[in-house]
Amino acid sequence: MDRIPGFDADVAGRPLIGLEPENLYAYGDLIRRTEQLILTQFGRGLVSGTTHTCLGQELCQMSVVRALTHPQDVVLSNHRNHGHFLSYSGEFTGLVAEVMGREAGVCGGHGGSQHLAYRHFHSNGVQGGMSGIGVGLGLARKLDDSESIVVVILGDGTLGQGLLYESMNLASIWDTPVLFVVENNGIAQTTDTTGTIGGSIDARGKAFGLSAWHFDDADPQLFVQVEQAVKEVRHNHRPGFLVIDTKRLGPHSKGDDLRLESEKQAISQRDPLIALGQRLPEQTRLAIEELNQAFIREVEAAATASPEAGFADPPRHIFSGTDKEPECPETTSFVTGQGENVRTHLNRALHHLLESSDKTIVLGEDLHDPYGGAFKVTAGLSSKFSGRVLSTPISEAGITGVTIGLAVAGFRPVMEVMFADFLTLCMDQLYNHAVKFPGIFRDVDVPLVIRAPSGGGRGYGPTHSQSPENIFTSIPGLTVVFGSHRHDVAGLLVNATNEWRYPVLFLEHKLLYAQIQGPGEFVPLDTHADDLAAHLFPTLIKRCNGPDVTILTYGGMLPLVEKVAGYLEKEEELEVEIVVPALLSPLPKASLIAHVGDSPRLAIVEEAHDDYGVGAEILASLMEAGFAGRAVRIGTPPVPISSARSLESQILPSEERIINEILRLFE
Amino acid sequence: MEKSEIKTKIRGKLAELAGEIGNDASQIQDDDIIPATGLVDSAGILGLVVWYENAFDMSLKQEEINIDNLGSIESMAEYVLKRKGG
Amino acid sequence: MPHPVYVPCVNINDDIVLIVDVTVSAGDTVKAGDMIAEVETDKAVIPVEAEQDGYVLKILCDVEERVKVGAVMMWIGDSPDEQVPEPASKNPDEVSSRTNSQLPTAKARALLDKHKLDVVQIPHQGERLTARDIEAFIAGQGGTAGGVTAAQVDSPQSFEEQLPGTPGSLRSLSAEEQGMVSTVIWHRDHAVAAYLEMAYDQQAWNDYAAAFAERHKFMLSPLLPLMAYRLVKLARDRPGINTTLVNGQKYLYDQVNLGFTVQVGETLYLTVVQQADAMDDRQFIDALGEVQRHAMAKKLRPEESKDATLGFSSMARWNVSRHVPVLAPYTALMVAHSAPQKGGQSAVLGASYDHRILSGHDVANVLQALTQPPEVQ
Repeated sequence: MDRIPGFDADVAGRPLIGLEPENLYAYGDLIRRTEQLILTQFGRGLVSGTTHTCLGQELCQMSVVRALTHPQDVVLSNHRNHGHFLSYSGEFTGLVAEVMGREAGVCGGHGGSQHLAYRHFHSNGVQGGMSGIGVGLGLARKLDDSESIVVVILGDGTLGQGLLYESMNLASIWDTPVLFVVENNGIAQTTDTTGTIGGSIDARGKAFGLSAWHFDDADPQLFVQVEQAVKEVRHNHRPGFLVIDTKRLGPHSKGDDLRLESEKQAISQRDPLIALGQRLPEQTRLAIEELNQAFIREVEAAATASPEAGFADPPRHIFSGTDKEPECPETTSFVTGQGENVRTHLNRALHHLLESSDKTIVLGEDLHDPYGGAFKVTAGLSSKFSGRVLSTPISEAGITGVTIGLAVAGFRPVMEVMFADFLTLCMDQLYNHAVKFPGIFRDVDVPLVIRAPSGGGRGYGPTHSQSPENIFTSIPGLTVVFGSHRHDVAGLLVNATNEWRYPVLFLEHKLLYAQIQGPGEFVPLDTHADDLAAHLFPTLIKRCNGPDVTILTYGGMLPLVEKVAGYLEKEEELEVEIVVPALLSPLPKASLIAHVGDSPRLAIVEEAHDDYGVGAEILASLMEAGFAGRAVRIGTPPVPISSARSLESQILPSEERIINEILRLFE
Repeated sequence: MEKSEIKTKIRGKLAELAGEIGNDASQIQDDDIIPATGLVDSAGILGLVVWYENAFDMSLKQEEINIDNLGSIESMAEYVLKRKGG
Repeated sequence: MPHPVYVPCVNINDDIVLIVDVTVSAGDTVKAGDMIAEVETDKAVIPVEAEQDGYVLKILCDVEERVKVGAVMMWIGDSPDEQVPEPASKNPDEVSSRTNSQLPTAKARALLDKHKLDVVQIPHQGERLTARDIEAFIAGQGGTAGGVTAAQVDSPQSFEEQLPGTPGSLRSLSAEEQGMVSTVIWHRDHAVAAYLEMAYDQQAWNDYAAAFAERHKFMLSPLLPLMAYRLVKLARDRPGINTTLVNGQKYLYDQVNLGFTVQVGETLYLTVVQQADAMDDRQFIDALGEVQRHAMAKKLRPEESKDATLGFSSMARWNVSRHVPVLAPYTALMVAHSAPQKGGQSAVLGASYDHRILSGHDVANVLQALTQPPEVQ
């Protein structure tokens, strides 16, 4: 923390803000002056992007954060986070410089006003987006027998966000020490929330079985009341729901205040910070304000003096050095069964992961025995590893948040989504959260794995048969692995969980579960040193003698492609090479270019929609590298996948269609 | 297999091969030296030998293919029995 | 009527189950509720029961087989000798044959494209034009085919050819030899096939072959093998005829692999006796007999039909008076033997040769020597 006049740091390096009125006023005044400085800098055009001040809500914001005493306590905030952040960190210069986009910014300019990461403080610009993460961090604390708690701070506008309710439910059923705080300022950006909130706010907490409190930041007893609520959450190891009525003095961000002058005047007259100052002897108040003013001038000078943030080398991906030798670790010793199917290998891998580390958590819907998951991949786990195999509610977004929270807290979570189609429910958690931590804050690891059975061929219909990898490979920083029965699937899963500290989507094709796992005639393709993670998730190749055509495919299309290749070899006299990556993103481009780049003909077979697809990306990469052969993409057209198998087989790539498309390369 | 049956088969094949080049082999005697009859040419004899190996399921060495062993219908039949019996 | 017994669906997400046991055999009688088989999923083994009384007609699965849920695993009939229906549809695992079976194979199309050939140029045996047909066509054309522009005609070295697999050494053409290439070449990578023939009296050869046959008690007349062997000996003494042209240079073979045409049914083989020059006459005749029998039985080994360095062909069997053989790839000479004219001993020996590297004089000398058996000379 900065050297703040009148404040010391606690053992964790955070400002100690006592309950004495002069202490509370002094810190509240510092927050207000910082916000005013930020607005001044904004008016000068010195602020990068936008900012949301907490003017008028300083005491409300301070009240919860100052009451956190455990070094491992977590604060998850939102867009209006400056008061929380300053109360947590005491980093005034760091905040102002961050908002100004300067090197001295507490996140080096990467986060700006809304995205701050500092020790156990995280904020993000998606309303309610971190609530599930909060439950995950809380669950981690519970599993670690820690006395620390998690505070998730929201505005009343966020009560319209569904993820929040998934999170409150999860926190309740798992007894996680999470305090949901609603800063109830009655307005969501420009919308009066009386028109957006149905029923009672307090009843929301109670409905989920959370301890509930409702305070007012104009009440002089606020700080004592809040401190008590925080203590209860800590000691009862139960989640809570705390509502604090407050009023926003300023606009949502800048220049977007549509409220009536009369209303704004009433808010000014209520101003609890001014009221607190007025309760102090005037001499005391003036002395505090003088010291604070001088301090804020120093903050301004330091922030302004800091150079603009810049990259030495603009990043091309989120993955930094893994400090590991680029060779595939020995992982398969635990899988001994020859002639076993893919499902059994995955199950053995999960057993191994749970057995070898207490930090492994397996979670998802219906995983418990004797059911063992919809596809039985988790069979036997819940009986053997009680407490670390969690059958969850139907809350895909919420449990994805939990998974992120567990990963950030040092666990190795492996989550199952029952059908890959439902991954879209996890989209915000992956797109806006999981990949943002390592992408922005290089010292935060998010080693999570989400497994999902993908693909059609079973007549499950439009929302249970899709192959959504093309959507997820386009998420910057999400690692997407899709093995096949020719890959060592157990090794892939163990590597994804233990050897790669970034979020991984691990797709499994439903039709491959019953396939016998084994390499057949496939061997690993040489890994190019430029290809990140390629050593963990190898590409396989079935070689031939000078290919007439190379078929590049992955996942559940492989058995089909093997049959097609057999046909083309026998009936059309072709030399057919099959290349099967397991890693779809980051794509092992250099390895593929080195190998496939000079094939005369290339067919890319994918079960996903091939418009804007994985094949398109591979082909574009090859073209850029000078590929001059003929090429075709074979995938699923942009239509729903019908349920009747006879219809489904006409929509998904079939042997017949693959053969015909490939033969067209010879016309 | 009876010797007579073997001879009938050989005679049949011989007639077929002779017929291919327009000759009639119906009058050939069991003891006639086949190459000397001129009813089949070299290629025909080669065809007969290959058929013979196949029909009686035995593989001949090159040095076994001589007049003594395979010169006539009689000797060809005896050679089958000798190989099979021995 | 026959009733199908379906492979049961045990678990919604298991498409395939393992047949652990089949406890009945065709012809057995069963009662409804009798266990007739057991199937296993990853989770459990469950019995399959007969749904009605009757006779097991036919069992369509094997123990230890993995079968698809919903497939028919056996048929049960009301009486023991009912006809089991034929499968209604094709096996879904089998790739159906395409409708384009009249087209050349894809490989063949790629080769046509590569060599700028037209499909109508190439003769083919089977229903579809195959890569083998094209390779044979190209080989018949003297190595590689088409796609040649006028500009390339004058520069025979512009096209990089592979050295033959058979051991040998390269040497440059002499000025005269180069002159012949330049004079006769009409195409950069085709042999320049020329033909000449010579009449002779075959009596001496016939006597020689008859004596040889009697001595060795041969079934077959060794006339043609002996003539071919004579050609081998001549080639050993005159390496200039056991040669080919590669990248504008003369490639002299270190061994004589004799190609000998054999007609089997519709197919003409060029059977090959490898390293014939290392054999004596009897060994050669035996080796050729062996190769010919393999050809007749359609059991030719790969090395028995490739890498000929010199050829011998006879159409005496069909009484043709003259035939012009096609040169085998990477050879410069093929001798053609025809039958003596009716009632006489006057026969004709001909030869096709690659005029780029052999002159008519060279070939006439070889034929002259071939007209007489060895002892007579």
